[in-house]
Parts: sequence; structure tokens; C-alpha cells
Amino acid sequence: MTTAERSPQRAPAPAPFQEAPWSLAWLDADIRALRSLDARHGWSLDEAELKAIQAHFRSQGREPTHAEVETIAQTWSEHCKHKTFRSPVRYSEGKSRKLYKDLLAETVMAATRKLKKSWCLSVFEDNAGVVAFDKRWGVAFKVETHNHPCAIEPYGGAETGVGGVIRDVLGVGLGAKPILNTDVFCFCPPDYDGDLPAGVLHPRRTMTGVVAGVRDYGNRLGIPTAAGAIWFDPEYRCNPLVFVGSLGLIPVQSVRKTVAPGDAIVAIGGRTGRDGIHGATFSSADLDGSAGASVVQIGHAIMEKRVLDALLKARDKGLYRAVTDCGAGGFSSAVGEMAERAGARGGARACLDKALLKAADIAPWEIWVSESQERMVLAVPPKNLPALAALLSSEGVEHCVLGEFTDTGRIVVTHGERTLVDLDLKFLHNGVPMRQREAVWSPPAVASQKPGARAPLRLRSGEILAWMLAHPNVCSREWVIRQYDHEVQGATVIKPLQGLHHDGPGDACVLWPIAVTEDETSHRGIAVAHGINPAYGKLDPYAMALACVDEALSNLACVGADVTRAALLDNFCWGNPQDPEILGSLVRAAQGCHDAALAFSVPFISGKDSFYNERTDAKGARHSIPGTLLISAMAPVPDIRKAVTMDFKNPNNALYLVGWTSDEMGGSLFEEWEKKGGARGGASGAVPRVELGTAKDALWAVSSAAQKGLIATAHDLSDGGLAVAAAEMAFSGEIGAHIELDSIPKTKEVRDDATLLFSESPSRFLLEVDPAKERAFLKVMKGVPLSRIGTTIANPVLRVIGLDGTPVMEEGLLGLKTAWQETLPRMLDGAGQDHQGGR
Amino acid sequence: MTVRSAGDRPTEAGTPRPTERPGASHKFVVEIAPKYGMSDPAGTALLAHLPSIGVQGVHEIRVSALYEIAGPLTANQVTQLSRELLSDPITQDYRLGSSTPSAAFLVGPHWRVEVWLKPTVTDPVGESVCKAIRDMGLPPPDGVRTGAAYRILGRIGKNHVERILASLLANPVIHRSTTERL
Repeated sequence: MTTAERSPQRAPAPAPFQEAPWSLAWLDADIRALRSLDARHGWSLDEAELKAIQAHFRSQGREPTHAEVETIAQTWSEHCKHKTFRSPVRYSEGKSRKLYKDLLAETVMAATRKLKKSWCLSVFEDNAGVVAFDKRWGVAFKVETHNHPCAIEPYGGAETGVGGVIRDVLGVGLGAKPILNTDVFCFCPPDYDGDLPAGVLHPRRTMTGVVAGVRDYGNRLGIPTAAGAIWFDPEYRCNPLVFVGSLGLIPVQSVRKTVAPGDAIVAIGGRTGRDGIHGATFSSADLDGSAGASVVQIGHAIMEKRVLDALLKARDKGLYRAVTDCGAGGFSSAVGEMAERAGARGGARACLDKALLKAADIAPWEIWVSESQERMVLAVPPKNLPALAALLSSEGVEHCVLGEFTDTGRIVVTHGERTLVDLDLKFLHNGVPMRQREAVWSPPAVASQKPGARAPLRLRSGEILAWMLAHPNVCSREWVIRQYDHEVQGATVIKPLQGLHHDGPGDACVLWPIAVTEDETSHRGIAVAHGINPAYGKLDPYAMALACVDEALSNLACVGADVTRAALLDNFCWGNPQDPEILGSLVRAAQGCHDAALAFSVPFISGKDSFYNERTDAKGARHSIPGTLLISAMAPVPDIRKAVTMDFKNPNNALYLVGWTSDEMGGSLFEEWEKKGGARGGASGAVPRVELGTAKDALWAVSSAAQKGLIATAHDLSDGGLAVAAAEMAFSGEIGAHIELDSIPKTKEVRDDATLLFSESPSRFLLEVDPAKERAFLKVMKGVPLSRIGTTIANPVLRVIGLDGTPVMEEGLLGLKTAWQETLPRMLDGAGQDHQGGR
Repeated sequence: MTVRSAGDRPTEAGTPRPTERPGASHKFVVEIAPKYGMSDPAGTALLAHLPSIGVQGVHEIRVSALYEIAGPLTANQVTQLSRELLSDPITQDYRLGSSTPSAAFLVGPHWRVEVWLKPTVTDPVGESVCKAIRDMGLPPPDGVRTGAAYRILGRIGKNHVERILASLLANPVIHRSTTERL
């Protein structure tokens, strides 16, 4: 495989696993020799970092050992230190310049700091973000990416991704009990029939493998997978994106962890083996050689379930003081992270002979950095060791005592008589040199267009709507969702599929975690939703960030969640940040996150980034993914009995449209339709832009009306605008709708039916209101732009009356639903050949 | 993937003669297949994918599970655990190595493709089988590895079998595979 990719999540390496003695003296080596050493071992250290390591050991007056350099490389990796996001960035846009000293701290994290929400219990410091759920419980939420492993081996990659994020939630504070998994994918369409580079799996195989992996791991662990999204775009053909998330409940007194010098370092769960040394990398040697197995791991869900059960029991008995998961970097980063917390100076002493191994043929440094799955590390007061050992063995979990935490300020690792690592913690955690990066952004050319120039679509609007519903990014996700157990633990109140026949697209899922809280008198629940739209990002990453936050929060408001208590997670997946333009779009998206968080008064509590999602082809040209931002949002639902679904409930109810409709077709589905017909080149109009000043009012009003039980049905308008939202609500409830376009609240430049039907202006909702509650509803919505645009009707049709008073569309619901449902099965079940001619 | 002759198939490692002493370490390969006449959903699903990769002429695929059990077990004990642990007596038949053919395994001329996890890849199913064998009170095995066998019936050439293997059945990063005409 001719790829120059680096694993974004983990530091990659080629294969020679034997204990390699240095072929050169580090202290006297010149930078070229060091670079070639770096390339051979795959540490992904840059020149400045190699020099910093050299300078450190010169000051110590000795050569570094192999294990020491490995430890530093892991700790300084993009995965652990967020080198790109935390570095100083000089950003220029047109004539304006801006200097960020620490990009993450000044954008995403700054918003959280400025908002000062008292209910944020732990943000940006632990394995997951934690906010208060009620007086006794906190909610921990984490979303991670596992892109690279899934590209090599979709099933194993997805499984270990889910396993990893569950352990993140299990390793937050003293451990949270996972109650929900989420999954968001960006794939190439599975019916792609273009060229693929050698060694790249076909998108159908990637998708079926990833879905199967998420399914098997979540289902076997007894955790519902009930929230997610999928985005299809051929630009993901070499670099699929797989976001996996987990949400857990944690007693508020268990949110803080401490480590005391003298505590034992205890590793529990799986044994350590050669699998996953250096995480995933794929070079040509791996794909046809024998070393490949070491970079790909297979998950062991049953093992993780045992670890989960044992750990939570030990937590409730107070047997340990701190816990963290063994993720990237294995013991080296888990022990290193915890050692920082021990006493004033921190420190740890570990002896690797004690580690339980899968096989004996493993070098000591490999034990230290192996990323074998299903392992956790605990800090245990020595007096609790017998009780912990008894509990673990009763749950069938193996453990070993690796050493103890100290207060020496050093991390010392031995194997037999040999000292493998003796490093200063301060240098290890703060010694990484930060390099200033350049970022530029220039807006893409937008085809100038006069408003109102769109051709009348009297006869075609039905056809366009059916095409949009069948579009891969809109169509039914039932094929995926039905493979997941979204009911286990018995908490799923609002399910991912809703409506009369349980097959309509829900906005958000709502959980009632009574099995964990054991409080039957409380009807408090949690809603979880996502926002993702890379199509907007291609035109303007800033607008994409606003739209994603808006969509995620709108989804929460629709089910009746309290959006004033919402919390957000960010996941950035970008190409190579060395390229100033790519970094420029990242800066713009991060700035968008900051502004959106302040505008909606909603804090970010955790996040993750993944870079180098690109591929170099045989000619040396780089193909990067579109910058992709996933916003995951959660909010409490004060009373789950009032939660709202998106299917129309009754005929003769009033339909209200909330929010202004303007001419915003950039990156929209309608634009794609026009391009398909060869209508125009370039973007047709502006990217939908959230009005930061007023968006919050509509959102809060809808959320509050829903909580008061004044709304029968709510759905937010996203891809495909009003037409798609109305169609989805109608066919899910099997209730028709009569909509008149001339009563829609709109801005001046909107003068045609197409814009009103298909514009994707954000912050809009379509609501169904019982006439008996209309007055109370209007009172709550006071000050928010809205109008009554029609009624629900008993006939199973979607009827739209145009601006000139004549019907624009009258489509049967069954036909629309069939179009919406057929796409994924056709693309995935290989039945395409039979059906393609028929449609 | 490699095409190997029947001589070095992993299956040939097993089936010790009955005279061998208990306690010595052997390797057995157990194959579990749907009984003759039972439907094979995994095979049917695979069959539906063939047109999308441009393979025609296959009329049936039968999928069976493979277990390679290494350890101090006797053939009788492996037969016992094949019957009681690894197979469902209502819907499935089993055989050790290439012995005891039942109707489930006599499908006529076909291509046989075997896909095994590489020895260095973690095999969670194999680990669970190990534990289950210990729980049955049988001698603890040294290790259990799992794989799958695909019997492809139809008029196709070797290049098409290879294409099925490469695009649907195995990922060379974690799997080793064999193909043979039977």
C-alpha cells in the first residue's frame, strides 16, 4: 500500500519487535541519524522533539534506553498531548490576523470557562466529561474516534473502539456505569463503483464490518446502542470515520480520584500480549507480511463485561482510590498519568516481571507499551489488596500488582535486574516542545445568484422530495439500528425509531436510568443527540460548527429535554494539520464551536481530535477527508412522561413553523439536486448560518413548551428543509398534512416555492399543537418568530399550496415512505441488481 | 492468501489414531455444519452479495464453524465436547478432521475455502471455548483457535473463488486462508 498516512490516534511503528539495542549513541548523534531512528521505530517524533529528548539526556549525562524513548513518544503523541490543538497557531483570513497561544484553550475550552456552569462536575480533565444529573448522580459522556483501525479491519477496529470508549467511561472518576452507547459513521456510499486504491476495502465491506463490530460489542456487554448518525460522501472512501461514544452514570461523590504515594499499582482484566503494539499502522509490510496481526486487535466483550461488573462492585466498597483505562500507550500512559497525581511531586515504581502475559515471547519494553484490550489500572491502598483480590477472583477477573506509586517525582520501571525506565515526570509531561503553526482560510468562490431566480417547480416538487428522502444522508437507518439492542437495561423511553409502526426517524433518544438510580419516584431522564454536516464544512467550517451545535440542541429540544442544562462534546476529524489551509479550516470550526457555545449558553465538557485522515496516491497527490466536526449533545429530561416524539398524532391539529426561512441553499440537498441536473456550477447561495443573537430564544421556547406538554409532535428542520421534515412526520404517524407556503415566516429575499420548501435555514422547528392547547402554547412562544402554516389531515397525503395559491405538491405518504426506506437495504444487501431498474 | 494443497491444511493436523495415550498433547479440528436440509442463513446472505462483486454461477454456499483444539484430550473427549458444547444437536452436525462424514458434509463437488484467525490474533471465542471445556471437567486444553469453512457449490473458476475470498471472506491482516477443489 502506498500510503503516507500516520495513525491520528496513536503513534505508529513498523514491526521489528525484538529488544533492539541502539545502533548509535543518542547523545552524539546528529539530527539526521535521529530522524532515521525515529522512522525505523515509528515514534512520529519531530525534529524539535528529538532534539529536546537528546538535550534532556545530555543534561543527565547518559544514553536513553529503548523503553524510555518509547514512553516519551507515547506520552508526547497526538493522542495523549493533542499537540496540534494545543499548539500556538498564527491564523490569517483575508487581511485579518489572529494569534492563538493555545488553540483549544482559547476556543472550545474558553467557552466552558466563560459560561461557569456550576453543574459541570469534571470538564476536560478526566477520561470523560461529567455533569450533574440530579443531587446524587452525575452523567459522564465521552465520544472517541477509531478511524484508522476500522479502515484496516472494520470489525475488530469497531469492536475495540467501542471497548475503548466504554473503558473511558468506566475509568472516569472512580468509575461510571455505562448506560448508553452512541455510534456515528462517515462512509463512502456502499454502492460505490468507482476505483479504489489497492488494499483499501470496499465501502460496503467497511460499513457492514463496522456495524457488526459496534453491534456485537455493545450487545454482548448489555449496553444499549440507541443514538447515532451516518453521513455518506465518496470522499471518505479511503478514510472512513467511526465515532463511538458511551454515556454512564456515576455517584457524585465518586467523581474525584486521588492517588497516594504507597498505593499499589494494580492491573486488572485482560492479559498483556503483543497485540496492538504501537496501535494501528499500515505500511505495505503489514498487509502482506506476517507482522500484520500485531497492529490489529480483536475485542473480547465478555472479558470487558467481567471487568465492568467487578470494578463497579469494588468502587461501591471503596477498595481503590483511583482508576484509569489502558488505552493508547498501554501501561506507560496509564501509569504515567496516575503517577502525576501521587502526592506533591508524583512518581511510580513498576516491576514488569509481575505482569500477566498472554505469551512469553514478549520483550519487556513491549509489555510497557502494549495496547492489549480490556485492561484497567487501579491505585489501591495496600490494606485493601486482600479484599480486592477476593472480589476480583469471585468475578473471574485476573489481576497483578505491578508496583507502587511514590513521591519521588520519577517514574521507574524495572524488569528483573534491569532498569528499563527512569524518567523525570516533569520532563515527561511538560517537556514537549510546542511549535507554532500557520493557518490560513480563504472562502471558496460562491456563484453569485439573484434571489428568486429558481425555476418554478410545479410539476417536479414531488419528484425532488422523493429523491431527497431516498438520499443516503436522509434515508431510513433502520437497517443499522435494528441490529443494535437499544432496549437492554430497560431504560430506553424514546427509541431511535418512532411512530405508528416504530420506523420513523427520531430526533434524539431519551433514557430513564431507573435501573441504576433505583429511584422510582424520580422521572428524570437523559436525552442524547448529534449534529454533523460536512457538506456545509466544505463551504464554511465556521457555519458548519454553528449548524452542528444548533442541530444537536434542536434535536434535544424536540424530545422535551431541558436545553438550558445541555452539555456538548466535540470531535474534530481533519486532514494533515501541517497544511495551513487545512489547519485554517480547523481554526474556523473551533472558533465556531466557541461562538455557538456562548450563544446557546451551553458548555463543552469533553472532546477528541483526530488528524492525518488523508491518503497519498501513487502519483503523490494528497486526498484529505472534508473537515468533519461531530457535535454530541446531552441534556436532562425533567419528566420523561412528557417526552415528545416526531410522528403526527392526530388529524385536525395545528401545524406551526418556528423560525425564519431565508434563502440558504449552500451545501444543501437542493443544491445537490440542481447539480445532478447540471443546472449550475458552484454553490447556489449562502451556507445556512445560525443567527447567534436570536437562535437561543426559539430553542429555549420550544424546549419549554415541550416540557409543559403543550406540543404533540416536534421535529427540527435539517437536511431537505421543510418538505423532508413534514414528510417524515407524516409518514411516521400515518397522518397527512396540509401546508400553505404563503404563511411561512420568511426573509425578504425569499420569493419562490422551492426556497420555502427546501431551504435549510437553521433553528427551525415544525410543531403539531392540539387546538385545545393552542393559547397556552402561543403564550409560551411569545417573542419567537412563528406562524401557523397548516393542519394535520386524515387523508394520507402531504399537500402543499404554493405562494400563488395553487397546489405545488400532493404526494401519497406510502410512496414517500417507500422511497425513504428502500435506500440502505438496496445499497447493502446486494439486492441492487434486481431493483435498480424498477425505480 | 495462499492456495495450498490438501496436504498442509490445518485440518490435517488432527484425528489421532485411537491407540494414542491419553495425556499426550494432540491437535483436533472439529467442524460444525448445518444439517442436510437445514437452511444456512450465513451462506444465503453471502450468496446475495456475489452479483455485486461480479461473480456468477454459484448456486449454493454452505458455511461451517471450525475449532482447532490443542491439548491432552482424547478423541472420545473431543467427540463428547463436539456433541455437547460446540454443536446444536437439532440443527447441526459435527465431524472430527475429515472423519465421520454425515449428509451435512457430503455436498458433492465444491470449492472449500477455510479462513482462520492468524495465530497472533486474539481469539475471544477460542478463549471462551477453552474455559467451557475446563468447566465441563475435561482436561484443560492448551489452546483453541476458531475459523470458518465455506463450501462453494457451482460452476466457477479459481479466480472467482479467490475474488470471493478477497472481497467477502478474509482480511489478510488478521486471517490466513486456504482454498481447494474437492
